[in-house]
Amino acid sequence: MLELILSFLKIGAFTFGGGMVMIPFMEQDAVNTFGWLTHREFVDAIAMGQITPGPIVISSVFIGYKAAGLLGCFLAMGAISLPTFFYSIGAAYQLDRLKGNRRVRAFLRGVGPAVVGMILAAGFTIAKTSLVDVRTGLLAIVCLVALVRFKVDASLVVVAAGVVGLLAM
Amino acid sequence: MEASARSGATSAPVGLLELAGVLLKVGSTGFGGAMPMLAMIHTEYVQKRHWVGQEEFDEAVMVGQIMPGPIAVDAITHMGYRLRGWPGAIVSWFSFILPSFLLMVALTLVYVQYGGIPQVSGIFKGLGAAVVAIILSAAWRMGKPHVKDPRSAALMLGAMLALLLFQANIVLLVILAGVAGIALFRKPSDLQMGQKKGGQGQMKGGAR
Repeated sequence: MLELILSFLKIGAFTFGGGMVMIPFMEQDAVNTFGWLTHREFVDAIAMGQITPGPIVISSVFIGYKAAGLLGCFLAMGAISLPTFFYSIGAAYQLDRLKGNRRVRAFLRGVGPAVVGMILAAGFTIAKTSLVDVRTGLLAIVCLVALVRFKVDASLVVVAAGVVGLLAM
Repeated sequence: MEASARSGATSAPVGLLELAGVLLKVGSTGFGGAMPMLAMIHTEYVQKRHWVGQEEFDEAVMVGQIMPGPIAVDAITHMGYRLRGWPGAIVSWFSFILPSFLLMVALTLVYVQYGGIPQVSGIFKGLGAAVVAIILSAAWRMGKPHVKDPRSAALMLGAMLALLLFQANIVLLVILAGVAGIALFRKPSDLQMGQKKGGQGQMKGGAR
């Protein structure tokens, strides 16, 4: 339980670049290091996080449950939110300095592309788990086209893919 | 009331209940990630209720981009604090998260109970394919503004391979990438991107 809190505090403190970045972070800790859940379950947790409204960080609730039961849901959500909660408030006092600071901007300028690489890496490992045959591969391509080319909402894509899976897989 | 639109300065403090109501609504209907949610928040905070001005809203979004964590959550926490201090921040965060938190707990319980039965295994095959597509599309969407020159591409590939081949520690990778950013991006022109929102405000900040 302490591992859960510390891990999620750490994730909350370092996920520069928005919610999606949490996926490689959570994967490394929850699946690879501590083994709270399998790759399969992790993928399902991300999918459920997409069906629900609100930020993707909500997937941490599932991981919390797998690690420590119902209490874990609250602990995971609290721990992952705490660092950024204080950062956002602290920013009210440092905003002008942060805005103008070249170091801060150069730091984030370096983190940005690295984060894209990390998300890609997570995409690959999750593809290995999820794309088990030709049909799942094709479905992923169709989903990707729907998302990128036609800008379909992710929650709709998830629901549609679930229906296709239920009927045809 | 109409005069307050520009500065965003409100005469009466924003009620905590009203704040909670707005964010419960956004939190329970905000599908599609940070940007659609921010658009909804913009409609409520800036256009309908004049709680904050455009400039303050842009600043809050920037806070979300600079700080770790989900952009929309950072932004509403920051604005909540500026509107009503600590109670405003806590109420904002709590109301925004609550709907999806409850829904996720419910989904988790259903999954644990029924996820294993063979009749539904097809659903999860389909979901898995969708998740791969969502992650790749996120990489594509974020890659477009972030990866524009060879140095950025090298950072992207380096981070990806470090994770895939060596299971590198991801926190360490973030810090290394940031330090590399400080070393690599020295010219002001290197730092243009991500600043598009600032516009004139940026000049003001730089003059300090």
